[in-house]
Amino acid sequence: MGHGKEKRGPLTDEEQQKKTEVKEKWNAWFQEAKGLMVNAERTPEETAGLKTVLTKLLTVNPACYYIWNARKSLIETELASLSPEEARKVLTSELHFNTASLLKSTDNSKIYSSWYYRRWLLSQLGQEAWLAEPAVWMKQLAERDTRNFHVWDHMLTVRAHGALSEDSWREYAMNGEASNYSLWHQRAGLVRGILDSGDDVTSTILREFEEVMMANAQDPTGTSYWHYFVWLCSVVAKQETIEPFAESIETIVALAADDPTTALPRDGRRCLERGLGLVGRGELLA
Amino acid sequence: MSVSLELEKHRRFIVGFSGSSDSLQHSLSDYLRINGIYWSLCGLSLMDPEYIRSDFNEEEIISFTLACRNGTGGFGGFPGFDASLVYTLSAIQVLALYDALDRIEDVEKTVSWIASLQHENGSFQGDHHFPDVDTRFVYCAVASLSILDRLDAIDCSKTISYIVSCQNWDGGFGLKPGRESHAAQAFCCVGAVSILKSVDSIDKDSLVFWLSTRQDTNTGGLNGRPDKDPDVCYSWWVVSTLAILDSLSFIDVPRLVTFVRRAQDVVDGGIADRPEHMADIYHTFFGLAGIALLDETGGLKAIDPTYALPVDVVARILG
Repeated sequence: MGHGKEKRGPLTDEEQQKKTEVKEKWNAWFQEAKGLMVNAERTPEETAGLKTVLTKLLTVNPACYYIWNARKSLIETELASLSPEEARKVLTSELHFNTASLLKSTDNSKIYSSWYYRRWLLSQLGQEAWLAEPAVWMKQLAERDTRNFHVWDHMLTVRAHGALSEDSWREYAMNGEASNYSLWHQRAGLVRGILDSGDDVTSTILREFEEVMMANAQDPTGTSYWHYFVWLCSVVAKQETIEPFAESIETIVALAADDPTTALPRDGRRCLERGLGLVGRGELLA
Repeated sequence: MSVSLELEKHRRFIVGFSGSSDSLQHSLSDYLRINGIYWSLCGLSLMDPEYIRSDFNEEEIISFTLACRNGTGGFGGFPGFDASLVYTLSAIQVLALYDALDRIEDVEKTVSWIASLQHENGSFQGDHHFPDVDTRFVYCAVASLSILDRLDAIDCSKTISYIVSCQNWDGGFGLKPGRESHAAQAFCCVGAVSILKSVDSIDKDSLVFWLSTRQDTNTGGLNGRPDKDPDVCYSWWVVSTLAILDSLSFIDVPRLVTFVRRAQDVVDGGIADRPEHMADIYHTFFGLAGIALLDETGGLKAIDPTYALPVDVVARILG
């Protein structure tokens, strides 16, 4: 879609030549793949050749959904004639290939078809493979793009397969930077689960207000935790009384106004107004 | 500073883009060609409905679009490519622009294929290759069937319930239940419930607030999620959703329009994701579409925020 590409001048002759070469290779490989795919009676050598050319195509253009579909069809056909042990080797090799593709670049890590292919491989390999996922992706989330919603989606799917312990998930999702909205989203999911259980509702809400205070101290100009504040106020508004939470709310308002040199961001202020409105304490900002 | 809208340059950019078949990028983007055709034609239609006939060969495009349909009844991104909901909607939108929906032979096959992708809980997967669901696919299915006047083919009640389950703590919508809110998913979910005449089933107030905080105070541009950079395409995803919810007053319109106009390439035409970046067909269309929704002085035709098609085309389809 062309996100994030800076405008530049015309290509040099050398750059143009290189692009022409890649285009010619792409077109040739694509025609080769199509030719092999239509042949239902492929020899083993032709099947190996098809896998090789699909690898080349996916290396150049992993965004092409059609090629991932073709690879799945190829592997499915291959698996049908293999023993469980042999099938495992093939699927494991495919998983390594898919991992390398996803990790190759930020753009690659945002390709839907690549993630779909991965989850298909995991479903074929079974629980042991799902259990190995956190080690790969939690590290990626921590070190690379912590806002990549594909990785977050995948980790939640891994969790749904029972392959990520609640403790590990909580440790990750509830110990992050103040300005990472994706972490606040995961946090809200976890806390909602705690609140829904009905246990320690008051102490949980109070603890979460403290998290907002700490986030504000860490990043006074941030806005992510202000959205979380709005949600907490909506939860408070549903309690029998707001009294247990009044002091926390007043403290947060005071913190927001504390340092006149650090202007509350416009959206932070709007969130503060909205939250206070939900609990009927709008006068605190008067 | 007033930044004029360079419509004639954008027109040339769109036409030129489609003719750039020699480039590497053209080959590599074959898989979403039908999306590109829809963005191009709809963008031109917003300037002048006749451009899609004067600047392009209507019959060639209709034939190409129909050639993207395969034996399943669904459409792929390019002739010979596998069918997927994402390309099926664009194909149907292209045929709608040319008033050529009746050129789909055995349209029931397409309807059945779309309906076959619905899950028991009302969600949709994108094709029959992978079972992954996404609210994008919900919108694509619902919009496609609405244009074909066959919403009766799916369980609309379950679809509505599913969309409601995708609304998050912050009022936004994610790609499935429990996933982080994203403005493009908000469009998909709200667009779908709007078509299904059930906008009241969602928490409109929370969503409008969340969408209204997408505007960057420095540039006036809109982002898709908190703390992300502004991007011209959100001038459609966010604005159209707010338009459906009758809540455009929550956006500083002049500042947003200025942001989009500044993302224009005033030399070669086209619109980029943000100022000083390279223009592309996707951002050109969504930039024009956003301005068409907002700016009465842009010289653009009116666009329907639910179907992302000119209002006269939608009026023709929905009769």
